Amino acid sequence: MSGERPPQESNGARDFPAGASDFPAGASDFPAGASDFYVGYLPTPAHDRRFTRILGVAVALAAVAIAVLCNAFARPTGSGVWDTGSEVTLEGELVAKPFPMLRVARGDGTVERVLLVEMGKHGADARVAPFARADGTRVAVQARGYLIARDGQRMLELSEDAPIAAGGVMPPATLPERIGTVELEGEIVDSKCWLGVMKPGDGKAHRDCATLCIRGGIPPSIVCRAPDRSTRRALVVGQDGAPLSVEVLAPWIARPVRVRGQADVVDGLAVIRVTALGEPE
Amino acid sequence: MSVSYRAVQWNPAKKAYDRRLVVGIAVYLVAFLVAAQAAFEVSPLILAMRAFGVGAAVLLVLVLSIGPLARFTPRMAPLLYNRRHLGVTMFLMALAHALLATVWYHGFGVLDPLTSILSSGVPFEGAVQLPFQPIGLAALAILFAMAATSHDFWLRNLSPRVWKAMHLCVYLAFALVVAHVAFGALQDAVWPGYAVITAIAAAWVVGIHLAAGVKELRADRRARALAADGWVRVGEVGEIDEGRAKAVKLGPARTVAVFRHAGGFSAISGVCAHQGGPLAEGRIVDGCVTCPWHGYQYLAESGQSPPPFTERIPTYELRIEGRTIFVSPRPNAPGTPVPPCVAREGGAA
Repeated sequence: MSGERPPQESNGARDFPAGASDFPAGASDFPAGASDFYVGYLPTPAHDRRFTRILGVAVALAAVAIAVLCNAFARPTGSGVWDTGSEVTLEGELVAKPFPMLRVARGDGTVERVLLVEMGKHGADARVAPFARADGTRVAVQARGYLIARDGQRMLELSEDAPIAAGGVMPPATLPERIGTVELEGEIVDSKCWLGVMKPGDGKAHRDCATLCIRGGIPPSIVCRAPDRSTRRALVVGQDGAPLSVEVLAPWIARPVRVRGQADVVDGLAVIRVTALGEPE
Repeated sequence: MSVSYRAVQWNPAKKAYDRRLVVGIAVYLVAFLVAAQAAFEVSPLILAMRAFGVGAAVLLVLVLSIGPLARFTPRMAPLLYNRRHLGVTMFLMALAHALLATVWYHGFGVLDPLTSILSSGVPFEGAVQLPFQPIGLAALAILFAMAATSHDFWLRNLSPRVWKAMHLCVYLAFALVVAHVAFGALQDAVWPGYAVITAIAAAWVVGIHLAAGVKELRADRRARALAADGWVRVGEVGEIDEGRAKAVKLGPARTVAVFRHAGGFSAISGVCAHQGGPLAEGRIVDGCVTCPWHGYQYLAESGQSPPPFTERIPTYELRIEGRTIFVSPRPNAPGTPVPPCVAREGGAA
């Protein structure tokens, strides 16, 4: 009763009875009436200890099983690599429009196009603008940064401090291959995350990130999946060859979409000048 | 009322519980990371975000299961007693999930992260395109309000009724979490098992609440059927063991606990002043009625907490006719002493 009550700061939160051993206590520590009745601030009855122990193990096993299931059946994330460990320098012809990229000569005489982007969710338009020539004169530059690569396609995330310098090897000029009108079904993604910055870099969970990337100037692409789960990517631009506004693209990002447009392949990079976006049939 | 407040009211049992909770969460997180090594590569922050999100959802289901299961077995009492720590831990895991998602998906861009979240998926067409991140944010806001007020200081200052109503919002939070998962992760999943697991979890939570509700409803109906002529029949003297009680329902929100103690019978409100715990399921411990939820104590003959505590609950008059106990339907003012009613051999009390 009250006169014998041990020190207690709160009704329902008192310390163990004076003289009781630490948790768990023996039966002799139970006050009258509590030997088989659980009270949080008193020693726990043996059957409650047993029950909670069994329940705790069961819940832990269930949580582990869920942890395993969450990963065992997760969807593929692709082979993209974001190599933040080693800074590289690429040299080639700077292309400013529709998106900054570098035409880099390969050893076999062909040319590849390496997209240039800033760190974070930002395009590199402002960074390359001082080096581009308004009269269309070709410019060779050296670009420093970190490679992002997937399925043989590369992107360079520019370093923070003066990553571009004039000069370097100018690759041979090439002509675009005109494919003509195409209709593709796939998913609109931002190229940076898709190529390997995020794994996975597609799907609804990634939708807001993709929208934010595209809003910031990261080139948007359409990714088409073949029945064998392989993927093909093409840059999407407006009918006039300029970047599409994010307002036009936003409703179609990270959902099944059908794209109609004129396709070209330049230096192995597919570009679609979009004339229509819609639901897949 | 407490004599004083402490930030965390730890005692040896709670410390032991928290140790086991932390170990359990650590085991789960390690299992998640180990399992991920054998699966497709996932960005480390996305992996951590998933681990915390799934863990928080599992804990939320567990938190919501404790109350209804306690209606079926008193063995759940230790989990009920420690539910507050489980709830706050669940919120912290949900917060970690949200922070990682915010930084990774909404950070480093041309919009500030909150603007990005709140403009998520706009414009959208149809339910399939429903933006799931604002839904998750709404759930997190509710869980934050609950975690921040998970203390007797707030219980006292908001009043138990307001506090309880506020904490019932956990069910809204649960519905939002289910929607967050359904319109988010499940739409990306290629394995239908994830949808099945989510559906089972949601059905489990709804099912055990319905089952507990039906059980209570049946008990209420049974009790009301015994009412007669103003005073309400409690039952026979022999039905109540020493140190135990029998519950009598007097109205939709009014229950009386009739205790047998030291040879006499006393009736007090069946609702604990702390969090509304069912006092009739309590025991007499150290001479005091002791709530099965958090151990709050009252003197059976006065409804007063033993000094220095100041909680008071209503008492009720009892009379015994033959071997049958009757209780007055009119409550006395909280803390009003009523002498214990004693059954006499062969006659009325």
